[in-house]
Amino acid sequence: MMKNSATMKRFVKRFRGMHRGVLLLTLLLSAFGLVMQYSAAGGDFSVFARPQAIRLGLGLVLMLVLAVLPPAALFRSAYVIYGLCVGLLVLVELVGFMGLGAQRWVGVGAFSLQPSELMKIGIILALARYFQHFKPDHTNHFIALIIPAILTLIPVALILAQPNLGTATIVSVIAFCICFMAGIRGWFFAGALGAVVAAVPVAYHFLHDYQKQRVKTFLNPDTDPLGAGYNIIQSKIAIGSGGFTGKGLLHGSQGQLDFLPEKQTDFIFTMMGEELGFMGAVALMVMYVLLIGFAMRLAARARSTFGRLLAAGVASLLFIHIFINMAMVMGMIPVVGVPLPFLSYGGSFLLTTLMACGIVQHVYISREQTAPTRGIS
Amino acid sequence: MLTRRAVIFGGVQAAAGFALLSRLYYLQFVHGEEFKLQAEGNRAKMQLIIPPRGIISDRYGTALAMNHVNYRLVIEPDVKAKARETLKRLIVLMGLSEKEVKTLSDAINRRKVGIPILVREHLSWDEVARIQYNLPELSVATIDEGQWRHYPFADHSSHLLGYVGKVSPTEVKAKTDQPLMKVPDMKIGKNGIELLYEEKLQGKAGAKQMEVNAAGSPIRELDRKPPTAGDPLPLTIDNRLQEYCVERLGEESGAVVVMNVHTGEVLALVSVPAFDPNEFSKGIRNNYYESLKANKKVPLMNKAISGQYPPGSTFKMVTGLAGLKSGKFNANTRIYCNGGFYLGNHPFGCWKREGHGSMNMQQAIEQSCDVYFYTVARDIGIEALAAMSREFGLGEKSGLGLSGERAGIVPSPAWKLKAGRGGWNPGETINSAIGQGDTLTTPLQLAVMTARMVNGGKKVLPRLLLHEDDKLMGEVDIAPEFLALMRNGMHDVVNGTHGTARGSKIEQEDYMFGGKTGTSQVRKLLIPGQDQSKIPWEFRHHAWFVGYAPVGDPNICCSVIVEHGGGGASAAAPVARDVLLKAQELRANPPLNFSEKMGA
Repeated sequence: MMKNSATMKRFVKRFRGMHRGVLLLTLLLSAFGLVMQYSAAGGDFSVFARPQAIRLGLGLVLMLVLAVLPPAALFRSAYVIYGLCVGLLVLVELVGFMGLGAQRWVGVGAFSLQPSELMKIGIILALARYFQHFKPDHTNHFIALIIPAILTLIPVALILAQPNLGTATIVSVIAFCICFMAGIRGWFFAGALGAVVAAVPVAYHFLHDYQKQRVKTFLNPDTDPLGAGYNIIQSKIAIGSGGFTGKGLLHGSQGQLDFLPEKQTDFIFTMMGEELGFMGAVALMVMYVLLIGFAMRLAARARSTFGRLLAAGVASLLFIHIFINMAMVMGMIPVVGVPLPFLSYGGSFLLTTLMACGIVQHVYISREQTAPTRGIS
Repeated sequence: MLTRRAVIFGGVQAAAGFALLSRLYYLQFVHGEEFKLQAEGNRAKMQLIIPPRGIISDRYGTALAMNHVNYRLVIEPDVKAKARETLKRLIVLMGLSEKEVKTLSDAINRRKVGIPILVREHLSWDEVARIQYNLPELSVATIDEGQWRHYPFADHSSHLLGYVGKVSPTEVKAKTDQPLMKVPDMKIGKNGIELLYEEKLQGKAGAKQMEVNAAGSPIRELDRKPPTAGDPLPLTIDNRLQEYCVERLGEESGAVVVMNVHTGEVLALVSVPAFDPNEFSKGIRNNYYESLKANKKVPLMNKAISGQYPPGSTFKMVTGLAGLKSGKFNANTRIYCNGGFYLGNHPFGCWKREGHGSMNMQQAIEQSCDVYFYTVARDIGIEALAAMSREFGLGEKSGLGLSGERAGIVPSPAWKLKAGRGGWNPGETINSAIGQGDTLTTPLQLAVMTARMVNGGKKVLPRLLLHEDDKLMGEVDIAPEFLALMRNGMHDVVNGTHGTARGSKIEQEDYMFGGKTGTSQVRKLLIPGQDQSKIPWEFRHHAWFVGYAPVGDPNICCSVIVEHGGGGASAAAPVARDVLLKAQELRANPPLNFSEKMGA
């Protein structure tokens, strides 16, 4: 009883130690997401916003759990979580063999979950944990370097097999960022980069037709304005026509009249840009910058390598999603199915995003700790 | 090391963020206006509004062709499942047949988003009410209002008025400058007045700007410019007379044209049997069309302008005038008819086998003596006959403009050579004298001929529009006393003691009429004097009568043909008598409400 109450006190202490500003930012962004989902359904709360709100509730609970979790507990379960994620990916693959076509979901009770989304958290945890015991003289050691490569390639290969090029790319980039922040030598990256460049033509050969078409469309969207280039053109028209102040919530003609496909998911920024204009888009970007900036500051200042790399991983996760999504809908890169944190409709990615926020809070609370392995403080 | 890398990583992120911001600025500020225009273009689509078609009326304002609202039940097939569900409910509600259900299901499967599928049209009030009541359950069904052309007098004026129909693909191509032609519901004139005055009747298209979604389905109306209705088109026709003519002809196959002899205003233009143009404007049903085509009385043909028949004895005035003009004959020239005539060795019989005896020209017209006019033609030749025919408008179109109008034939050596039929045979001149042989005329042409015969020689032309300036008319090149002689002959045909149509005389002195009978052979007589009622209908003679009234100061003329009626005196003259009597009565009694209408 005494022990339980002491544990309870520690949890409460950690809970109180959360960064209020970042918590507020998280809630603001989540609320903003619900408003956009309300608009995406043409002013109907029940279509997208309500299911999203339920997932948001679940995600916030997960976030708090991760935030207040003792560092040792998170550290110790890192590989377990990673292993669970890989296991789920394998499971999806097996179910996919039995069903037909691309299989990305597994049923969890009433929800269906995309393990590839959770994998983004899994890879951050696993790599951060690995580099915690990484000694500086290992940075040139080939065997020591091959392990993070393997940790990355297993899930990436499984996700590619789904096939889901977008998520596989993102997991790779997150892993790359963590390795970079862990201090791995330049020549190793040069080698990896060379391998990627060499793999591009081969990979292109293995791309699905629709993916090849997306690349071609990006290179010249006007050749077939009603076909593959339609999304990009309509998206640019929508954002551009928003102007400085936007057309007002629920009044974006492009979005409300269905000229934007996937407006509640990948093209949510387009709808927002049309309805809330430059002001809305910049406000959103400022919130993102604050959140990523906070994670980056932790990545530089946390006392343990585990903490620093966790923060760096989360920063890279948020950054890469935001960049790819916005660049895509604004016609700067080919159409890739990458959601926008907090705004896009979809449960798994919302959970991932909020878990990432939980991890940032966790690192913030335990920022003064040098070794996460040593017991519970 | 770590910090340095964090700075690099942060730097990359800052650069990327700046790139995004720049792009946003580029899209929303540099090209903002451009994209605003494009978004507006996406959102709004112009839809043309079909203008209401001009109303066609008779000379007293009675509507002959008007527009009714066509209530149509349509389903918007954007969502297939909903369309199917709605169709299922409609089966019970509307009692759709199995065949209809199949057609509609196919249409739903092959649907194009944004294009509604028509379930039923021309809904009754009862049906509209039933659908409106159940509308909440019929998610994607709507009632839409179109127009359809209604002809209240159905088949009484169908040839004259024509009908409207969908624009055919070739017509769309021919009229690329008229965007209205591409509107799916657009109907244009296909025949008769509807075709001839299409431009006046059509009106000017309106337009509405609709907000549409990405699928092209209209969401709401943004702006509207109403259409301009087509001009009302009052005709010279007196509908009461038109109706009377139809009834008087009854079951016969034939035509009647009634005309004002001075102005050329056509008071009635009737061809029977006819068709119901309402069926055509609703979208013609195949079996109806087939039955029309199979009818041997050719209801689809406007016999008044397209029917070409030998004029028979109605042509004798022309022959007589040509003789008078030549100077070889005068009012007192007497010729003895013994019932036959020889050109060389070739005999030509008079219709009266026993012969008419000695007669002058007026008597020859009254009794329609063939031998008299054989003699005239032999002495003046075919060219003189042909020239006189043309003076009276034969062998050419009247300029009325209705589609299908034929020019007839005025035979001459030149015409025969051109037709590839070889040299002229003198015997043909003799046949031409009594309107047989190759001569062909339409009922309209004979009405024009009669008008010029009795109006003092003005070259009147027929016309159909009420408020149209009189055309400048020339005069026929004949001395007035010759025309008077012909008029006296025609007077005697009906009112003389020996007149061929004396049985049809009108007793009321103010309404007395004159005219000329005619009988044109369909097949060469096998047995002279055979009773026409004893041979098959399609081999009987056509019966003609051309007439005018009143005899004192003619203002109305008419021509009547009764196909295979037997003889002019027996079949056509009684019709002409009744029509001319009616026309005069109606002329004296405009419709009761007419003056009120004009005052209002």
